[in-house]
Amino acid sequence: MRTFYAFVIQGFRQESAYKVEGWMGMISSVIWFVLYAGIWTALLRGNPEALQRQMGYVVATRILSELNFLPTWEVTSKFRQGDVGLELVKPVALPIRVLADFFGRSCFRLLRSLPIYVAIWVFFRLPVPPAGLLLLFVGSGLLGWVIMASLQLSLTLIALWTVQFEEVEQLFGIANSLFSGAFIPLYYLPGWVQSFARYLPFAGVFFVPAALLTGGLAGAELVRALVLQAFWALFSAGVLAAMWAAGSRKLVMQGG
Amino acid sequence: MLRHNFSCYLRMIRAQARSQMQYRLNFAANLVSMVLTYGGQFVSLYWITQRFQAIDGWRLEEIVLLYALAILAWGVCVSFFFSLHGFEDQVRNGTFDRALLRPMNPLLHVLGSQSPISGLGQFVFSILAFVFAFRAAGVSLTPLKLIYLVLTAMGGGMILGGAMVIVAAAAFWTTRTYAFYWSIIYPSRQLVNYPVSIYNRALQIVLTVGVPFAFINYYPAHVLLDRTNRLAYPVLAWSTPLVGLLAITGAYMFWNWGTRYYTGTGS
Repeated sequence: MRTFYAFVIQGFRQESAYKVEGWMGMISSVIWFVLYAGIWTALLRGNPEALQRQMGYVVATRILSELNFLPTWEVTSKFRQGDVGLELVKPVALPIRVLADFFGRSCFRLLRSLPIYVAIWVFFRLPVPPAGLLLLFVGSGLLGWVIMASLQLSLTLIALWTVQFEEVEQLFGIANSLFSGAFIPLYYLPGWVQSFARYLPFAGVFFVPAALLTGGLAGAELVRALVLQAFWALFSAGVLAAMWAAGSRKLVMQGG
Repeated sequence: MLRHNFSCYLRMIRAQARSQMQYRLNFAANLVSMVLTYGGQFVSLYWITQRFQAIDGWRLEEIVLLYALAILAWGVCVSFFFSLHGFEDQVRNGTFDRALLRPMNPLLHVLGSQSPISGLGQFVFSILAFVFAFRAAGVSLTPLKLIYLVLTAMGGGMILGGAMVIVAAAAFWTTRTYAFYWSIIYPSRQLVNYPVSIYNRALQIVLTVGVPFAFINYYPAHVLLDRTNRLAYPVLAWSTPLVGLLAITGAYMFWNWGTRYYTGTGS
């Protein structure tokens, strides 16, 4: 845990070192918000109540997307250059180091853009959620990060067996964009899609935290969603651990 | 001088195209990945229009038309300007020095380092999207529209290319281009995947005169759909080629100004 923390701090510092990138990132946050806010305003113009909820939902998903910034392509390019041999020598396992580093960097991105999101929340006069709900949002958001980070890094680790595997990662990204609620909350999807999307791990990444914060999930339904999310988080972390254990034993090195 | 520059450039990109054609499998893989990405976007659009029928009065096929125009212009941009995406590396590693020392326009030298058929996948895909949109929306393609479509693709490509040139020129001061591209250009391109009329008036003005991405697809789509009368200024619908020329000229002037600040690395 201590080493994890040390790598988190290091990641945070690394991300904060690039000033220009920090400012660019803030502009980027605004553009993405404007895009989604524009679409949903056009769609829900006739229903002020639903529109207000959706605005909150959009802000929540933007915050979560800062958290779920997972540059696994950096790991892939390391593997390509054959640096993975060095990874095995190091005393801390690669998944722990990589995930701690990603988490630290996400924390910086989150802090950097949070003032913008708070300002938007105030500007649109969105209702202030109670403290308990906010806490639940943070916890559920972190669980979602565990799911996404573990699964995505597991996919990257497939590179330990084969050399080219980008299409699968891309397919995973598309499934995530469709079923996670990052753009369309699950309750606006066609019925048949909803009925299975709620059980997929992707739902825990954006939909569950964002919907609970904005009142789209409550009561028994919320409890069920949170239990499922916790299950997926454990499952994903297990997959990652198993992948790393198997992969570090059977390593196909580029040029080896 | 101009003729010399362009003949050098043509010779460079011809060699690049020949080298790209050696990798057929790579092309197929690119096409698959593009089908996946755009296919995913199409599915979310389809689900939204199933639930809400239209976005600000634009039906599914009309928004697909906006996509098709945007992908086509992006294909033109990718074919001729995408080498600028990684320009940061050339500045940081000092390899841009080479372009400055050669008896050729430095920008054309950078642009000549890529194949002119890199956007082939985008072209194939945009044609598929056009066929779907034209059929579903009942668009009759007159010769005039077809000519304007080609000019629009070139104009849109120049608008996006201008943006790439400006972003690349920013590297002369900050040695950063990836961040500019992924934080600003990429999300701004996504903005125009939807009818620009859904945004706040101020943003509509920005997308018209500041970062004129609305000319890539939103305005010219009015010509294809025979609804230029719905625009406050119908002339905007016909302006894409002109705006493209202005954008690339302005960007080139900015680039020239920026090269004066280039000092190489380690100096």
